[in-house]
Amino acid sequence: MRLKLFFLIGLLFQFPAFAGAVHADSAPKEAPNFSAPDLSGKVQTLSSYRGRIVILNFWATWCPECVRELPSLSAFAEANKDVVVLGVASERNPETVRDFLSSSPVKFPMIIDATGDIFVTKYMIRALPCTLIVDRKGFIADRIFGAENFQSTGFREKIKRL
Amino acid sequence: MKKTVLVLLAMISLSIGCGPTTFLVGKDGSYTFFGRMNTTLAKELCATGELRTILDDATIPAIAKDGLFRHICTSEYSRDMVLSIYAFMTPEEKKELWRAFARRGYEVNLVHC
Repeated sequence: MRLKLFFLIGLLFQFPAFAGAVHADSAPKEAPNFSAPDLSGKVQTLSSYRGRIVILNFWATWCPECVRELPSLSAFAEANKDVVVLGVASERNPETVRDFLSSSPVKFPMIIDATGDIFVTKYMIRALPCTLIVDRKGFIADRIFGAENFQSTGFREKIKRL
Repeated sequence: MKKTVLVLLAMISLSIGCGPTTFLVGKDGSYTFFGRMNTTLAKELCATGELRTILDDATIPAIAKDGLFRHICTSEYSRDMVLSIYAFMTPEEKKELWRAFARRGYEVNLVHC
């Protein structure tokens, strides 16, 4: 009987997991600064974008949900040039990302975090995909775990409010 | 029974985010979530040096070997860091970690949503 009860409780708590992206609002926290070259060789420094909204998208080629949301993020970046979109790929070999992007290009800079310096040490990301929205003052305004539809009204409203 | 309860508790605690953010490790009837330090098995893994041996044996990146040990077994304990390091690992690296535990006689239970 007790086992059945635990199982039912477990099932109930599974429903949020099937709801798609989970939005976790957090108290404002300054986004840790970083400087890293993107695939074109340009050094991307987060603090240089102070005054603009920045979307940091943590992903990996081996993460199906990450790959699924990239096209909508790319379309968002293309349509919203006032917003900075930076991809952070946790990949050991940059060529893996280059090969992937050669067939599925995106319209935003891509940083390769091979050592975990940004993913682990600076941001302690706990699941992929993870999207952080950094406001104009450099604070993390929102964290999104799971695939997001960056073309949705809800997401666009979220950006508009900042 | 205890293992079933722990697996169910894992399902509940992992329900917020989809995907296995950690795994259950067990030996001789004792179980612990990888990264937790408040269980007998977790304390034994650190005190006996067994976790160090397992991590050294696993073909995983240096940040994982050193970081996981440091953030599980030392005064720099941080469950957030452990989960982040684990999330950073590729599926193959995660499997290699599970295999390293299995080679030392541990049972590994994964919880997926």
